[in-house]
Amino acid sequence: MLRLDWNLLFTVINLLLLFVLMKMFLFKPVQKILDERQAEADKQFDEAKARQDAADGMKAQYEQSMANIEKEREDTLREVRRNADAEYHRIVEDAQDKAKQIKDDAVAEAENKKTQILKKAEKEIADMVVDAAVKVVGEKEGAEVDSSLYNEFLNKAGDK
Amino acid sequence: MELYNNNDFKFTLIKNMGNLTEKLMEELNCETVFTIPVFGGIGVAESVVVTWIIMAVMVIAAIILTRNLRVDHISRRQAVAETIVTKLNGMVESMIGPEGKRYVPYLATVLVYIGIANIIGLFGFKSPTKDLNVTAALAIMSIVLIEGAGIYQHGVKKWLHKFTEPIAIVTPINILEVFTRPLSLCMRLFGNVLGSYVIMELLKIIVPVVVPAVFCLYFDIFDGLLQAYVFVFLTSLYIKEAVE
Repeated sequence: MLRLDWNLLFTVINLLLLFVLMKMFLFKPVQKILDERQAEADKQFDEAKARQDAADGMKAQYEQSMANIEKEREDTLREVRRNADAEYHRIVEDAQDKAKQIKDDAVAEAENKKTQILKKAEKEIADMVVDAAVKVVGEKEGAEVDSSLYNEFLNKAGDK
Repeated sequence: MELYNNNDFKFTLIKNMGNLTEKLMEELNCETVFTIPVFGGIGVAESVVVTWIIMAVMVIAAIILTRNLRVDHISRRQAVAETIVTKLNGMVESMIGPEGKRYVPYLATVLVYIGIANIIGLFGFKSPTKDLNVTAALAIMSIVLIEGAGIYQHGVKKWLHKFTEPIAIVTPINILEVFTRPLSLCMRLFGNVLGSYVIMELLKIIVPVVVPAVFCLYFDIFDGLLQAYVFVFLTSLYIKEAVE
């Protein structure tokens, strides 16, 4: 019971041996596995974070491009509207020009016609005058001719 | 008649007491199992042989539990091994703190060893911790580890200087502690195991039915494990103090 001898040394050796064996067969392998699992978990966590970052980047990029598209759309719309306005004004001006042209043409035509008619009337009047003169000259002489010629003309003109 | 009976009872009791003393002495004596025939014969005590058995059980259990370890899709066996290691490490680490992490495997081993040694009486072996050699060896290893940890952490100069802290006058007491600490560790464990054993034996003679079973739970199992915990707890505490 109360004896201290060689067995103390044996027990020390036993305990040291037990410690080494337990470390070799239990603590080290299990700790290694736990560390490996931890490393794997860390790796997965990092990967997930990297993926998250990439996704965030892509989202930002996507939003940026969406904003660009929106801006482009508005620019295009404005451009198109401006073009359309210009076209509209051009067409209207064209139409106005054409209308004016047609009107001018019509006026010129009418003027022409009028001149022609006047010329024709003048010619007819001259003919009538000649006719009347021939008639008067044929019937009377001298002053008589003159006055009858005049009358004749007046009659003819008055008839007109 | 009554007198006779009374005397008879007394006689039986005295006879039993005589037997008890004999039996107790026999149980308490750590027998020499065999003798190594050198230096005039070195007796190998029962405690050493039982320690071998405990070692064999622990190592075989460890080998069985840690076969085919894998990182994922672990077997139930591996789960048990991992749980044991994590719980033991967690338990010891919570006592010793993060700075003494390197001493955790040793302390965990000692914890398991003392725990098994204290309750191995249930399996018919004689507890090795009932032998002063074993508890003395454990205590000596503890104090070597404690002082070794202090030297490792601070270097010899600072380690020596620590004996004069907090004031120079306590130096003798600090030096004395180097001897009293292992002595108290050794005797606490030895005394507890021995005491609980003696109490259980007495109890078995006085009330042989039912009652010993209840007390057995306390003295053999609870106290055994508690003493293992206390031993490791105090060693951890001293190491923590030494490495601070």
